[in-house]
Amino acid sequence: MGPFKWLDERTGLWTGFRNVTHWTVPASLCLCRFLPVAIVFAFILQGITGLFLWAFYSASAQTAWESVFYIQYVVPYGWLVRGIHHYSAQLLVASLFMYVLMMILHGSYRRPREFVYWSAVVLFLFSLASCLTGDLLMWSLSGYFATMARVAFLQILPEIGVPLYKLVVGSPDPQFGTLTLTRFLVLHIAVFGGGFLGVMIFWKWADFRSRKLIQEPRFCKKHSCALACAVAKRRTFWGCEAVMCALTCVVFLAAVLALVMQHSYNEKQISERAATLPAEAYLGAELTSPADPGGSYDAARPEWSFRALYYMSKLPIFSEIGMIYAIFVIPTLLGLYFFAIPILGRFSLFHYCIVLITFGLFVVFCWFTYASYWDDYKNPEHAPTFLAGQAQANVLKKRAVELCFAPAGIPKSGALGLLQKDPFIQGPKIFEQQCSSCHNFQQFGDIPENSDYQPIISAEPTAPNLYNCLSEEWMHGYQNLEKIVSDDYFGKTTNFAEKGSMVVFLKGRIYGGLDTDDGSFVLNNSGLIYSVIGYDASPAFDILQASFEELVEVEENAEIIQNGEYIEKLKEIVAAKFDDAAFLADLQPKLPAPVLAALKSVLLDMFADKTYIELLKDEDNIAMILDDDIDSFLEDSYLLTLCGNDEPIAPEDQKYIKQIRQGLFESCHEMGEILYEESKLDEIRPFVEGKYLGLRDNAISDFEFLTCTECHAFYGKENDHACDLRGYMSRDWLIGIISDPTSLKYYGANNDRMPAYHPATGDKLMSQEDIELLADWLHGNWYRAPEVNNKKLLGEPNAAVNASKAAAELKATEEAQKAIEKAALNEKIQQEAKERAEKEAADLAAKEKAAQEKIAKDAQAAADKLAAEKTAKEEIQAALDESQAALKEALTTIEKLTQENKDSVEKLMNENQKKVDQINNEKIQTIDQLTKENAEAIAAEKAAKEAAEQLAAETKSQAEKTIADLKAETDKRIADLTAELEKAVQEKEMSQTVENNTDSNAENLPQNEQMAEL
Amino acid sequence: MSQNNNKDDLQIIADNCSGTRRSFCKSALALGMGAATVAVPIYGGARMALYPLQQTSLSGKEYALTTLDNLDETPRLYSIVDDITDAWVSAPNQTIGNIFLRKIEKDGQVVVEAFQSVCPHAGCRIKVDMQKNPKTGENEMLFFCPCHGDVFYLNGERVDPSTAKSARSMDSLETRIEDGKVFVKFQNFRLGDAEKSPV
Repeated sequence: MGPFKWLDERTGLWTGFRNVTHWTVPASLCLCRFLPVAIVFAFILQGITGLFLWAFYSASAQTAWESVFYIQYVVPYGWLVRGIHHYSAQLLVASLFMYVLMMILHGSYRRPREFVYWSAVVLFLFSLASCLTGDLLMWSLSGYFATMARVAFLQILPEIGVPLYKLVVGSPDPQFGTLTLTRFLVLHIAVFGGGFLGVMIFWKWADFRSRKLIQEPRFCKKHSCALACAVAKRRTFWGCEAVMCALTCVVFLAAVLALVMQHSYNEKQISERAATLPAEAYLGAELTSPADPGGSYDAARPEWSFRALYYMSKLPIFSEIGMIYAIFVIPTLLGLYFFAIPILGRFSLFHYCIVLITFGLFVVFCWFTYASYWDDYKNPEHAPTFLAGQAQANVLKKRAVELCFAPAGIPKSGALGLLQKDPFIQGPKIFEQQCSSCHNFQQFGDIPENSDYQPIISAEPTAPNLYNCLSEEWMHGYQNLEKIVSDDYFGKTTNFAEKGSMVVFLKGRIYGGLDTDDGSFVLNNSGLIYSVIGYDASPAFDILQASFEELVEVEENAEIIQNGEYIEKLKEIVAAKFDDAAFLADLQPKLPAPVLAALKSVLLDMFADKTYIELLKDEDNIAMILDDDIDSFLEDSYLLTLCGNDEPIAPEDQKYIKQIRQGLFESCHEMGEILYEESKLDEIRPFVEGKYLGLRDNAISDFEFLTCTECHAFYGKENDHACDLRGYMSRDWLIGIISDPTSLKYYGANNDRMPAYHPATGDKLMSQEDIELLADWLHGNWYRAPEVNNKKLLGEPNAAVNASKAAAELKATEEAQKAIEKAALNEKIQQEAKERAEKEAADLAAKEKAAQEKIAKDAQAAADKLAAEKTAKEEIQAALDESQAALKEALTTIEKLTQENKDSVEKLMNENQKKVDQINNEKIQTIDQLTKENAEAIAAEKAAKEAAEQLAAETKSQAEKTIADLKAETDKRIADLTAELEKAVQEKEMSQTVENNTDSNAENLPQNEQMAEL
Repeated sequence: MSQNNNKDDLQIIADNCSGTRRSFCKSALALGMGAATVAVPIYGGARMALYPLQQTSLSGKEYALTTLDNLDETPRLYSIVDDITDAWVSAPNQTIGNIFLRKIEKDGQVVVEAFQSVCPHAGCRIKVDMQKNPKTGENEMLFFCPCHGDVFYLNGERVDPSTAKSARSMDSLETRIEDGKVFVKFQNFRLGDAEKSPV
């Protein structure tokens, strides 16, 4: 037995197949015969596409939209399968609608085909129900609110309405949730999808049965058309008929695909695609942004098939008699009518009535559908709201896709959170809710348009217009006298406009004085114009004074001064002064560059001005100049004239004042630029390598000159009379001022009426997150999606993901670079801080060291002195010893001499004795003579002895005197030295005490440092 | 399904089934068009369904896990953590696998051994503990799989290949040591085969 026969015996499939192919059908090509083919084919399409969609879909509030997003944008050909599913559903509803109408028109609902007709009607209702349930499954903005509007009507049913609604929604609360999705999925697939299949099978079954039946005589008259077909030439199905069926399928599919591609039809449409969206955003069915059950959607509408009912329900009559009539009563009656048609149409007359009525209903249906669309798109009353709602939905949709393709991707909590944390979307919302009662937000004056922002109009603004408030032009408004009190700045505040210090400040200081009614100008002596050209002390004064002195110094110039011909020379000198950087650096106050330039041109122009030339050539003045009385000349004559002689300055004389004022305005203008640079900061500028990082070199001095820092805190200057200008309008600064404008860092007690939205203590009007969203929005800090290559019909696979990855990598490298720079910068800052600390410590140490050295030096000096004194003492002692020794020697010598004398005397005496003895005998005379001689000799010797003794005594006494003198001297010197030593010791003690003090100070220094740091 | 089986019909059928080229063309055309129309959604659906095959997996990526100093001869379990995308959800720092690491000396050199913790038999998670060696009856530190009882030596070899359920030893992974840091190339392998092949 062959395989086919074996299969056929068991299953009967082959026989069945042959029956189909050999089944005969009429040979003509009746169009209405192919509608059922289209219907069955549509269902097959829905089945296949639905199956594959079901494999990816996830029914929960956090994953439904995301899974559809995944299908549409990520999975290959997901957009095609979803698109076919959506549009074939619409065409299925249309086909069934046409089919039922055709049945009514041809009367083929009549017996015995009642069940065929009823099945068709049920199929139509099931298809509508599938559309309704399917619309919610995407959990998109449009789907959610459109379905919500329709399902919510269940509540108006009496008694069962609310419980039924709760059952449908799956929760006791009216908002849809995950359980709504799960049961809608069951309804969509099993109940209405599976039910459709079942009814479809029954429909075909009833159809086949009826074809046999209608040939019976009792039915033949009723179905003339069908009969005509039946008796006409017939042919097998498997031939032309099959081809026509296949062709119908092809045409149906072509229609579906045409709808799928409707937004990518031609080059023009493709070229108009938004640059940041992938091609899948323009292919297949639409997917609006994730549903936000807490939000609303002004343009929520049902699909085209429900539009007529929607329009009808909005007719004014139903608001009087009740919506239940529009939603339930009338549709039910219509349904009953349609179901009753087979029974009603038993008679020809009734059939024609039915046809007419049905035609009428069809016309009404078409009319209502058209009117509904017209109302939304063309009616000048309602269209703007609808179109605006659609536009907003488009913005949200685009943004949702951009954010989902961002490198961070979709978190577990779903994509809705991405939108809720997005400054681009939330900023305008929060601004409108919290700020627009006082702040306007639309382009004004010369503020450039910024495509990032749409206007938000305030009805009665009383605070500054914040449109593009982070642009340079907006910042410049503060420096303009007229702008700052205009309505777009502070003109409508009470504190600032009328009484505010800054207005007064601008007028008095920058403008420099008051304009009187007759056009003359009273120079304000405390204004900045005066501080530039004032006649008692000012840069103008200093420059002129120095120039004159230089002129007069040179003796050769005396002649030309005398003759009054020195003006050219003076002019050269004055001009040279403006090129002398060292000289300019010493000027007080330090002038901003524009003011300096203005001053230069004023001073040089004055040398060509008749009035001033006269003054310079005046004899008395020349005398003063030569007399070196330049100060008086300038004060009483030259500069006094420039300042108007203390009188109101006439309009024709105001040109120099105006030039200086212009310089001041230009300097103010630069302040605006500096503030603009401040707004870009992340944190207050650190102090690195001796200056505030990135701050213009002239910023601090200019702010000081313009006396802004009298009230405003700026780098190096603390203050709290007005806003802290450091980091002005930067993100942190904005967050701070929104959180608490009454803080001293911002408006303080001058705050007009701005609420503190998140103060440290008290009620919080906005969450921290919302304030940060606002600040980020004003700064334009939101994720910017990269451009995607979407100019081809089908785009490129994963184009958006790749573009996003590339952009993320670029950003990562940039950020890594920034991080490296920041780390280097932090190192630098720490290094700088360390160096400063070290420097201070070193200075301190040096100071200490110097003090110690001084003490040591003093001590050393004292010690040296002591040593010197000791040496002196020793020397004296040595001298003393020496003299003592000398004395001893002298005494010894004296003794020796004495002894020698004695010996010699003895010797002499002996000799004499001998001689005496000798001579005794000789002569007594000689004895007497000799005795006389001896006596004389003895006397002489005695005298000599006495002399010697005297000498010895003198020597002794001299020696003793010397000794005594020396001793006295020595004692005196010792006493002196001792006194000095004591003094030295005392000093040392004192210095010791000083040292101790210094030590204790040194100990306190770190503490002082710490306190200073705090 | 019944048909009108009268004489005319049979004639028609006979006429139509003469097996001419025309009827063949018609059937071919009908079949062709029908198949083509149905093929469009089926092709789309098939591309959708086969998407996982064309996606890149995290297998084969290298991860820095720990330093050489932290390891010793006892195998320890380390988690492989990476940012994963689960369908449309980006989840950072998720555990995608676990491996055993240990440090031994081989031929005088310090070597790091890494093993997949997935049992090559049926995919259960292998553990390491003092176990009774079925061959020697002694207690020693062994890898063991709680599902079907396989035991492995610490070098990944099956203790008793003849009675083991697993067709191969534990799957080793490539390691690299650089500057005292240990890098492992994480991979998943096919279950069941005698030969180790990456998935």
